[in-house]
Amino acid sequence: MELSNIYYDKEHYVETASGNKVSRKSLVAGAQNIVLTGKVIIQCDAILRGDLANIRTGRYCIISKGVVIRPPFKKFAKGVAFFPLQMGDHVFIDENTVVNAASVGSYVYIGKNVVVGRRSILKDCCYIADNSVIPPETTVPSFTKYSGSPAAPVDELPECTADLMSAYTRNYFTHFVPRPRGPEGVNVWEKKPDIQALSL
Amino acid sequence: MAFLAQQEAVIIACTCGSLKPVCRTYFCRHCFVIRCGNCVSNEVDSIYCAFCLDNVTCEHSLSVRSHTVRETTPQPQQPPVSKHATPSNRAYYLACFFCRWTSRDSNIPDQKTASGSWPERSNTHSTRLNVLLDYYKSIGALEKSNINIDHQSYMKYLRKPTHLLEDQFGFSANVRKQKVELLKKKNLILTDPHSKITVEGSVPTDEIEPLSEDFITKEIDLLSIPKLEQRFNISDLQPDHVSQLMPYHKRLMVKQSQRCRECEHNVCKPEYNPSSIKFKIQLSGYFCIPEIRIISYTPLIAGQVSEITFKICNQFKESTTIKFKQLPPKNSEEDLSYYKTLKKEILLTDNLHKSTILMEEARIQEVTTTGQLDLPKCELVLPPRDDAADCDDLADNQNYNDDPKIVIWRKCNKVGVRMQITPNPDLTVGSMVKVGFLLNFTYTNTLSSTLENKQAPQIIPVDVKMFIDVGVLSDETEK
Amino acid sequence: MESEVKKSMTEARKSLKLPVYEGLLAEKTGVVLDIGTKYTKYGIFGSFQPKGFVMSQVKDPHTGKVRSLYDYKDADDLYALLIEFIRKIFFKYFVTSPKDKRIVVVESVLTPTVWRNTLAKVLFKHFEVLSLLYLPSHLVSLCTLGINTGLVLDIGYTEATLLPIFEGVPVLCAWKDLSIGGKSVESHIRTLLKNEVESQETPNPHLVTVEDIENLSESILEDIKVCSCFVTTKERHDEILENNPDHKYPNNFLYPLKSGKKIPVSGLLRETAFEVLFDLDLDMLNIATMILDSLVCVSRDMKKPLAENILLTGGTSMTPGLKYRLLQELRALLESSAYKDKLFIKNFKFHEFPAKENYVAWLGGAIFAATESYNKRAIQKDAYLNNNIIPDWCNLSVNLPSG
Repeated sequence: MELSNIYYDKEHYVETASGNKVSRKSLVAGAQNIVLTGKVIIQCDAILRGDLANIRTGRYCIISKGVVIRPPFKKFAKGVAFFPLQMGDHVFIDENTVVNAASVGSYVYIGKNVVVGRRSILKDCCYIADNSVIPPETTVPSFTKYSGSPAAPVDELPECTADLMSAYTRNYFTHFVPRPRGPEGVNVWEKKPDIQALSL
Repeated sequence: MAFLAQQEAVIIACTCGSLKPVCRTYFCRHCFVIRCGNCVSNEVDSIYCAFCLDNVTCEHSLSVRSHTVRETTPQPQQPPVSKHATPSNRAYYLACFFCRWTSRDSNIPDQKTASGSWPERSNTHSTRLNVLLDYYKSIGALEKSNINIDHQSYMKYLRKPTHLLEDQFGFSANVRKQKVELLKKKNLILTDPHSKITVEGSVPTDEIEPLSEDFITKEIDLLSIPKLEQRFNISDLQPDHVSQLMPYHKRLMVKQSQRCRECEHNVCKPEYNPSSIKFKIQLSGYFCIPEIRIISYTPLIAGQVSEITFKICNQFKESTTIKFKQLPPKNSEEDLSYYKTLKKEILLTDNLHKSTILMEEARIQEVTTTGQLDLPKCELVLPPRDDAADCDDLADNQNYNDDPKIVIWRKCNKVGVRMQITPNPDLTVGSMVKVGFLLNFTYTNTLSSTLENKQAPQIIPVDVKMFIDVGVLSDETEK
Repeated sequence: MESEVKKSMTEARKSLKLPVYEGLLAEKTGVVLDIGTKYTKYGIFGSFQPKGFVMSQVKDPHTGKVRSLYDYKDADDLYALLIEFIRKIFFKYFVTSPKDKRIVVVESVLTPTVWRNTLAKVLFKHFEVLSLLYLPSHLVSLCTLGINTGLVLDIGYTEATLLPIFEGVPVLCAWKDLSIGGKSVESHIRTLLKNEVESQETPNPHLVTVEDIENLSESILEDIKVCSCFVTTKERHDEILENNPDHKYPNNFLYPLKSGKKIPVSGLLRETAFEVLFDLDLDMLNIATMILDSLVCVSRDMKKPLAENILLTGGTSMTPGLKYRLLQELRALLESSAYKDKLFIKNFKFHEFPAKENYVAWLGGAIFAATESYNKRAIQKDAYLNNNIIPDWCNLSVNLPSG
């Protein structure tokens, strides 16, 4: 089934020159440390903790409602240090998921209510089922489906996952459109969007 | 899986008869047929550790089975393990990040080195079992060697009634000799003093321990009782208390490669990483078979015509021409014709070629369609997939002479097609409307043209049966 | 310090002689499978414990529902289920391909023919194994003890089957079976729980309702059974039957569910859940009468040796207190009028296995498979492909008296 259009209110979203769509109701902390490469969607109530360490996403990353992206920390003898969080292209993160990973590869699908433990590494083309908990410092190999708490491999993904995932995120992006308005609805957000204004 | 599940509305029938979503099929470019996991031979390409993606002995091979905490908190299965060093004497113990289990909980002594030296537990009964194994092995060896009694002649002897009459009439010398020989042979196995094959059988006992009073007096502490699957992980002990749980080896994972059973060419070689181009033998059906997706449909009402729009997308790097045909009648000869050619069961019995190509019988799975699709008669030409064109939003080359009644839009390698669907009149509200058709597409064989003979690329028509779960039948009154 | 740790780790890596991975790399070895109704035991020839246990169920490739292997509709359905199952066992747990491997399947003598033939077809035609041997589970259980005579009672998940073996020969005429086992205990627990919940006067929001009990999954019932239930002694059981007010029940406890609700498990339930094994059914049968009835069937000189060589196998027989209670029941029945004049046995003796009861049959198969006898008896691939026959004791075409 082809995706049907997902509408958003234009006044609640800012669109950057590179095509990122960021909800004004999201919390983007430390925006100077966050790089959104382009065509990234950040939906409302999502939290990106750029104030802890750098966050870098690839193209076509979809961050759904209520997602928390939080760079991981490591305890040392003299305290804790935060590490940057890397994210590849075509990553889909479903609602209410917490991502503490050190790196998330490309073509990764993370389901709803998932906890991705600290400093875990999600390789390219993996699938995390809904309600899973990835323990800290886990490596999820490519082409595997992880599920459960603690998450364990349950299935293999087809070899064409990369194409499926990129088709999926592209499709999502093209179907993520502003709500059509009547003739009186004039687009009021003409000025250049400013992400920093949103950060705390 | 969510994004793949959406695709599973469209199912194709593999050559072997099983039904698969397109992304789980393969297309053999040597035989030009669709294959799936059931009709290719799966081979182990490599074995690797999920943690370090390495296939040598890795430190991650030790994993712990930690405590259960029943439904109140999640039940850990194979959490990762790290080594902690205590600074003073630098000893190491294993700890689980997930459930806070440590190897000290199971009274495993700390180790001086971080890896490799963790004690391997052996079966507590191994001495006794080794004795038994040796015993049965030597019996097996005796059986194999020529002192083995000739079963047939022994049976023949038993069946002759003469030996039953021995008491009354006695044996002739000849028969007695035969009998002695046979019995000697039979008993040889267990009585021959030189062969020394004896084992102490287990001694039965009638002193059974009565039920422990603890069951009646003690409170149940659910947190200290392991679940069955945790017990099974330590199969020889199967402990009933969490303190006896032990770490066990983590399972390695396998990468499978798929080989066409007919032409013995690989249809898929696995990669550790999607970006690696080590083999690039990935003949997934997804790349060759035109992909069909439902865009929308008007409410489906039994016996009435509704409109449905599909998106058809060519993922192949050559253009393709598609035609729609009705499904052949059920159990027609055509269904099995393909397999008939193969079902020779080419058992090459000549000794030079000991290899046997074995084809299973096709397992045609019955699909009952519950709707009729009004298929367009015309051909559709789909341009090749072009990743660059995707970025170009204005790429429109409308030189395709399409029937505007059928083709509603075109964009790069995708085309929107409108059709009419009629659910069966006897269908009940709420049941799934399933339609099927035969999709004929052309596959351009680029393989032959790249060879020395500079022929024009071969164009092969391929038929594939497609079944689509359109949606549930809605109520007429709701309209 | 960091570098030292690294160094010691690399040294440790080097010092390891053999990969910890214990796969099926060796040529001569093979796989022993014991596909039970609830759990499948799998392992390697000649090893002393199974590599693992796995539920005998697969995800139906078409509906996505998890189905037990024994719920098959017909041979084709079973074929599809077994393909998925065997694939899972080999590629996931053994990380190897079954192609050209030796296989032993330990099974009951009474396995349906369709099951045997379909399994053979799956293994030979789909997975192209080298050779296959079916071993009768009751017989090979004796291999774990080094004895030739024994009365083997296998109490499994769906049924209890009994087969006496005398001097290595199964005494088929004395075969007994009863459809009681772990499953009947679990359904009994469900009934008891329902009664308990119903008897509560004021509904407690923290506790489960009757509907919750009805929808309780089998795995939770199994867990309640394993963690709390036991087989009580005959004396205590008689006390319960008499409603003796002095009887001290075991402790109650609350079993928490994922939903946050709790199941009240009473001491009475814990103590009486396993009574289904000892309650006489409509035909006046229980597991104790099975043994005695079987002893009645065998010829006179076999009675004593069999009675003194009883083997209890199967997962359900691992329940605490079961063996003791069974002995008590047997002794009591021996004095009863039904058996007093038929059996002249003084004593019953049980064997202790050098293993856990739930994988005894598997272990027997693994020991047998490691011997030379395997090659002599196993069905080879070529032979199967030529005539498509799996020899069976009930098949006359392979068991015609010769000579």
